[in-house]
Amino acid sequence: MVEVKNISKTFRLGKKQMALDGAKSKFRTAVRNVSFNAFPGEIYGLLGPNGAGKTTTLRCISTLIKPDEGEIIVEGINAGTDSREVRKRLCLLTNDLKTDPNFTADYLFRFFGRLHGMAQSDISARREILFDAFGIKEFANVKTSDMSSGMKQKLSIAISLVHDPRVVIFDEPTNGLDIITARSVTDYLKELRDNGRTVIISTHIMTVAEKLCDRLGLIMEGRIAAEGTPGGILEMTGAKDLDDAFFDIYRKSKEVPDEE
Amino acid sequence: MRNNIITIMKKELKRVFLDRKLAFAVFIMPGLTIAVIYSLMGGMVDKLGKDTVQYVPVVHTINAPDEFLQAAQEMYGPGITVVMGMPAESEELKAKVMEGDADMLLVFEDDFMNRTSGGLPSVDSYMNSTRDYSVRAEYMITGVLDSLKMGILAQRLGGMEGAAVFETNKKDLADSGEKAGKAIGMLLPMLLTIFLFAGAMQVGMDTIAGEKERGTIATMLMTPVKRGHIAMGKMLSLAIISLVSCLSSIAGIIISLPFSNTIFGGGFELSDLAYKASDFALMILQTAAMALSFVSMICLISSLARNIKEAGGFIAPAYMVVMVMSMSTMFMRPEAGWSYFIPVYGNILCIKDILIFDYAPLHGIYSLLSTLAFSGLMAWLMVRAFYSERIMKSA
Ligand SMILES: Nc1ncnc2c1ncn2[C@@H]1O[C@H](COP(=O)(O)OP(=O)(O)OP(=O)(O)O)[C@@H](O)[C@H]1O
Ligand SMILES: [Mg+2]
Repeated sequence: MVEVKNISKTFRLGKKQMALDGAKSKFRTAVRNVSFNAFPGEIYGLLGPNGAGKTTTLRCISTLIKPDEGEIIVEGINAGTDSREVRKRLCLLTNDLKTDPNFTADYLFRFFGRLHGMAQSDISARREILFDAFGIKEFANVKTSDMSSGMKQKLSIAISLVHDPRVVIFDEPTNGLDIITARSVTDYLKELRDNGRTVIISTHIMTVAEKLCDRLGLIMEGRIAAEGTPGGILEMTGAKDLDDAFFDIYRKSKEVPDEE
Repeated sequence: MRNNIITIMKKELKRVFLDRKLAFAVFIMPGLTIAVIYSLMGGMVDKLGKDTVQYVPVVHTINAPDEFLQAAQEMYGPGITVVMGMPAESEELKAKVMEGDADMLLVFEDDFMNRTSGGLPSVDSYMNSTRDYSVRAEYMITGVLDSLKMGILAQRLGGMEGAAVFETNKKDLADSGEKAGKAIGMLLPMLLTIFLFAGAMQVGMDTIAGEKERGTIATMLMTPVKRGHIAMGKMLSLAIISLVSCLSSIAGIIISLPFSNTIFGGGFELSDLAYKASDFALMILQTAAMALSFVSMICLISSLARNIKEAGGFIAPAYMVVMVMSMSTMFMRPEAGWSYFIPVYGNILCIKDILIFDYAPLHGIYSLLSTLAFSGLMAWLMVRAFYSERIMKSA
């Protein structure tokens, strides 16, 4: 279970970035007062356009960065004060996870298992399951520098799941993957959900949101603009599909004047 | 949790050994380069020395008495060529000496031998001090003239015994071990410093800035390991790697010694080096201290840089400063004790002092204290950098 309570995050922009984006202010608020809960046995999706604050929110939950305001509770543990305990219970997957070159799949898997404080026998057991599920067994002893990008992607997912986390966070799970790999990833996420894990993903792809997620939070310009099941959101807006519903909400969110 | 540091260190060490190019560059190259350069330099100096010995100087004389020619023959035999000339040729011969076509010109006064009993006849000698061969000729001729002088004196006083006033015995009291130490102490600290830095730089940039650039650091940060421990693991493994790399340089120097000892001034054997076990221990301690300073500095810079290129740009000036420091110790030795408080510089000075048998324990303590303070500060800043959100930025 993940409880996100009123988090906000503002970045200070570098000079280069300001020039690049044509930003007027030195500061950019990526996440504004975002709250939601994700429960065990469900896939919660943050759906939003580019720059909406999805990655920033997920990174806050994962303890990689700290929100300026608000609180995040993961499996009953406060992420702000006990980040290491939180990391023991969660993992963050992204579509651009990188693997160290020159090491074999086997070595890296065991290495990260040890860093998670796991016993050798537990690591071996997890290795059996995950290498099987992702078809890594055939190239377990190949150096990552000799792997294809699909192989590397699978390996990095397996590595992130080494400690069998209760909470699985996946930023843009299908981005950059071919249909077959994407399907195997979404299937695996469903399996995790069915096994009682809390799964949170981000996406800007409507079909992914519709087919994969049990509940959605529509995020726009750092704010949660609407929340509900895909069906519920359709009902709420009276739109015929999620695309239209999304634009409907997007337009409405623009009408609300900025309080800042 | 200390386990985590060791796990990370093991992986970092493995990384270097698995990357053949990097391993070669860090562990083999320094030693190999030193061995080759030293052997070549040694060979060149050797050859130069032999050339001078084999060369037969040409000395032109005007009005030289037979006794002089005899004395030269007795002393050097075919080792010197004495050519007799006419007084009229004097200017022409001087020009030859100037241009190096001849090595020396001796102009004796007319009727030289007879005049020795009455007046004080003179010998004018002309040489060119900018030419090695001319200098050598003058050295030889001085000997011949001395012997001629002794002969005349002996005749005057009736026998050799009368002419002998005293004997001189020359002995170089410098301990052969200290001589060798002086020779080694001149170059070794500089080479150690430069190779230590170069090794740490290559690996350090790769291990931290490279990890940011490749984007693998986020996976590490997602483990429950404290960020400070990740930083420490990386730093300590780098310290080990740079020390091993430094050993390779030392091995290179030792391998090349048989061929290169002429560059160090020559004439000593490795076995002359009478360093005690405690000297070695101190030397290793100072080298390790220096490694720690370099490594902590390079790690900090690599943590702040966003990619390898940027790290390289930041480290280059530091490398320059270290090079200048180490080179300056070749020629200068500062008087002031506080110089030993300068990080890195103090270590280099201490290593040099140990090598030339002139080590003051107090100075050693100064330099170790400054090392601790300096690398402590660097490490602290590095850990802070690891806790900053910027550690994940690579663009
Ligand atoms: N480290 C950072 N420093 C400065 N600005 C940042 C940083 N990270 C994100 N931002 C800014 O915050 C905003 C939200 O970014 P975020 O990456 O969370 O969006 P996103 O919803 O994940 O978008 P995308 O679909 O493109 O991945 C963007 O305007 C981005 O430029
Ligand atoms: Mg994103």
